[in-house]
Amino acid sequence: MKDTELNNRSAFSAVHPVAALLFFAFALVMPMLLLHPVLLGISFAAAVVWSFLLRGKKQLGFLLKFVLPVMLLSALLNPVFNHAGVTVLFYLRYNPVTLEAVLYGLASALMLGAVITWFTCFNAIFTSDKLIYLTGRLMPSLALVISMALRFVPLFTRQAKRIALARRGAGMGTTGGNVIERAKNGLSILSALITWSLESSVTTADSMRARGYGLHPRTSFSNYRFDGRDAAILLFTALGAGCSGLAAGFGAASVRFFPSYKINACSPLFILYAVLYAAVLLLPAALELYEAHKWHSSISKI
Amino acid sequence: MAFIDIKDLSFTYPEAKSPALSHVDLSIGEGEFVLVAGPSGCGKSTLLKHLKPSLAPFGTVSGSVKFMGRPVDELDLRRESREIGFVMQDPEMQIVTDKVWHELAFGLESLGTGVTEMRVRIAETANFFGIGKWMESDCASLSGGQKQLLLLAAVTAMQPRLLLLDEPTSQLDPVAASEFFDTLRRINQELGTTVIVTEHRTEGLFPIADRVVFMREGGVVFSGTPREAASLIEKDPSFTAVLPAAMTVFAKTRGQEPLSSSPLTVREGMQYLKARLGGERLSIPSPAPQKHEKKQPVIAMRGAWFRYSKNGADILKGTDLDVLPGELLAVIGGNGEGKTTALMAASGMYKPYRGKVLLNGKPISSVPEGERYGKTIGVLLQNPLLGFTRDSIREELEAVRKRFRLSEERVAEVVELMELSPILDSNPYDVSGGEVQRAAIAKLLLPSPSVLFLDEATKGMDAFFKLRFGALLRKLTALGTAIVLVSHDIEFCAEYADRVAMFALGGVIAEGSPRTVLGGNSFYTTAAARIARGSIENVLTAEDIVSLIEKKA
Amino acid sequence: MKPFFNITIKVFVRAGALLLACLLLVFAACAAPKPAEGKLRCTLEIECKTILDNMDDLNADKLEVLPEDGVLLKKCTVYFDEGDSVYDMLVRETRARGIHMEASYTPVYESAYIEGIGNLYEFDCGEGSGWMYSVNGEFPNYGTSKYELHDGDEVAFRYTCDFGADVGGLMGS
Repeated sequence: MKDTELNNRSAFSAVHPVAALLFFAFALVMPMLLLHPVLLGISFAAAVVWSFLLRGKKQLGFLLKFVLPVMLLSALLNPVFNHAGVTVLFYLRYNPVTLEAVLYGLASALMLGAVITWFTCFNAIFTSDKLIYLTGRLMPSLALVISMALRFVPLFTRQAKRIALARRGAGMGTTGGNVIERAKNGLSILSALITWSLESSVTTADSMRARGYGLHPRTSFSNYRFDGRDAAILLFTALGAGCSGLAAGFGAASVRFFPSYKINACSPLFILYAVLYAAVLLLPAALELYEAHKWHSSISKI
Repeated sequence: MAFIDIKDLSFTYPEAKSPALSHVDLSIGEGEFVLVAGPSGCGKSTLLKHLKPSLAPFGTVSGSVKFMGRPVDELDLRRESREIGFVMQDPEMQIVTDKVWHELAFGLESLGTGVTEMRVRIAETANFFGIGKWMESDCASLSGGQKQLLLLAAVTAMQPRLLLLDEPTSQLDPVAASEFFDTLRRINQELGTTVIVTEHRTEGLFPIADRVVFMREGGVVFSGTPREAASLIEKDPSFTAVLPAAMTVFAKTRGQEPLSSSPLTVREGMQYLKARLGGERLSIPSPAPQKHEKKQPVIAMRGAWFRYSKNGADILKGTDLDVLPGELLAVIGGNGEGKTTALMAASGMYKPYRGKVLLNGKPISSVPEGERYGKTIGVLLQNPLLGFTRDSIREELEAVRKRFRLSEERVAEVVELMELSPILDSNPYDVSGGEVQRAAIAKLLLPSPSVLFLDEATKGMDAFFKLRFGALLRKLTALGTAIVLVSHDIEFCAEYADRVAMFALGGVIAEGSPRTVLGGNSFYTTAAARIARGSIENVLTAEDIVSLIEKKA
Repeated sequence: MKPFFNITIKVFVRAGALLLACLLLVFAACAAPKPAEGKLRCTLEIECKTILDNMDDLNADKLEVLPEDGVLLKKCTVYFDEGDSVYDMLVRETRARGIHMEASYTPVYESAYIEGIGNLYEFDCGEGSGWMYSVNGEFPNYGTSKYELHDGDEVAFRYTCDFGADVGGLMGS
């Protein structure tokens, strides 16, 4: 949830949280609704491109070490557990392994890969500030709770480390020892942590009260402005969502895996829709590249 | 009509034998900068909290506190939050939210300020405090001094008319503290905000305060201009500990000079001293270089290199450090130079990636942890409260006794040595910072270690308590325990250390007796030494100057 | 915390590798069932005629796998070995004839449960639909792999759309 997630300064991170949220909702939900291989491929590719622009080399490691294994696993496991389908390839013990199940496994692997990759982008773009802004619009007090929680988790981790160090320095800790001794030591650290947090939360409460906490109505600060570009992104994404609804209604992106594989991939309506779908999903990556280019050319003019 | 009018205020905590405040009368004008000083437990925090009804403690109150002519407890929460700001000691726990901008906005959000107005207020506040560049940072990434400055900014963003600060710099290093005081002065001078601050660190506040109030045992013993406070020393010499060095020198050597001409700052002290000596230059004979008896060091660090992460910067760059048996070694140095890291490496808690650390001549890593800590080495980190889990100090000591299978007599011995009997049954979280420090040291002392490492042990202690604490450390070294004290507190180190090691640039750049190491420094030295620069050589304490002048007379 | 994250990745990778190894083992172990030597004989019939009367309930995707006359396998004589269960026989015969069949082992009944034959699965034609089997006209109320075949048995797999009532073997009766 930190800016350090980002490799470079991201153009999309300056987009208004409401527009960004709608975009991510679209990008994350569509692969789960439409299991069309072509659309999934587009979604996965767009997500990968953008995640590389955002996180650079770090993303390669993540992709190879996490995303690909998960996809592989899903692609392999589906035909092992799902035996429906008319095209029997071979038998696994007593049950048939079918072409349809293999294709379905591949599609769900693409779906998983796309969703995970979109989520890494979401994580990099959606900093706690944006999260707090969005909740703050609806419930300012909830936004405060989130903000406090975000502060407490790392604070506790740090404090637990300090406690462990303090106990070690007093000869009261264990670095080795058997499982029981280590568990005991861990419990003592936890107990010290709880004592500390209870006692020191009195200070936090005082500090909050001293600054008027509890008055109504509470407002929520933000420094986001909704500008023309945000409106354009919002409208474009909404258009994409609307067309997806229509496409689904007309069966333009229909796909069926069982009992036999049937896909609509050549109708003009589908091609039209796929192009639109790609355009919406490639929007952030395009924005990043466009801004980077503009920056370069304005630099070279100076 | 005074801005704040306190009339015959008395207050007793529930179940307390004596009142925390007794018959306090004080009136403060609008725009005044008031310093309230006094030892821990003198009632200054309690007094401050009575000016902020939402923080006022429970107990029996009599007398009245009026804010702008009306009883302060008649203020509603909204007006009180807006007009009376309060900053406490511990910066870590006062911060509520995770981001700097959110912390700045917190008070305004509580007041229900509209977003447009909040933007303006936050922008101007950030600008005034020069913290604009941190706005997007996590609060956790700030240093203690930055956190406290942020809290001050967060309170100021609400545009208070009165700022109350309860020992705001007790957890900060000297550089951060003086930056904090500077900002406080600007708030007072440029915004006209009335400021009331309680503080142990009076040296930096005397020159900027309009008024100084001294409290003792719940009563006001002095209230007047800072210069007039010099008279306190004449009444009670123990006040030397809390007044700026220049004043101490003046009060003890002024002769017929009127109190109102008392110097406050180092500069004024220098001028006074030059005039007093009539331009004569004196010198305290430098101590004969100590004959080094060839004692084997308890801890010997040789050419240690250390960094926190593989690609991080080196913190220790070939550091050498010897700790001799029974000495009090003070490690001083600038903020963030790595003093604490040096302590952790010397005690074996961190392992240098190059170089070695010897414990009684053997590599420290060859001594098993169970033998190393507790019985041989005791390490006390900053914030000693972290080590406490039980309801009373007695139980804490009992846990250590059982762990090391010690006798009850040993506990009694340590309790007496560390003067713990009055607080033995108290909860560690209820006693003062100095008392916690003593209890924590007692825990370390139980298994009779031969060397103690203390990190910033005098943090948050008041001047009177430091005198007792220094004497305690002396007692321990006399019994043969070596003590390594890492500290920002130069005055304390100058007074009590046997040896001072100055840590900078990744290593010990100077070491020796306090007089040889600190006497010649121009910045990193005591206030008295700075006052005496150009007039008397080798000065370390105000007492040095006073006794020299008295001898001359 | 970064190290924590690295650990999760490692765990995932290792788990994946382990699973792959297991899969390979399973693949290696999936030799086809041996053909029966053939002294003992029984008849086998697989049909789903009830669907024809309940076309409204049928999952539209399954239309293409529904035989026009509702017969997947006409009654025919097959061979089996001593000790073979109905399930063993069914597996062997569907496989030999290229008829799709999926079964799963149900621990509660310690027996195989027939989920679908010819891509017609349970619940494909209403809530009460699924496969049932009868031997010599009787519908046993235990699993196919528990029923040991006898010479001359007449085995029929019938698709029901109404908990067995429409094929003469109401469940629970």
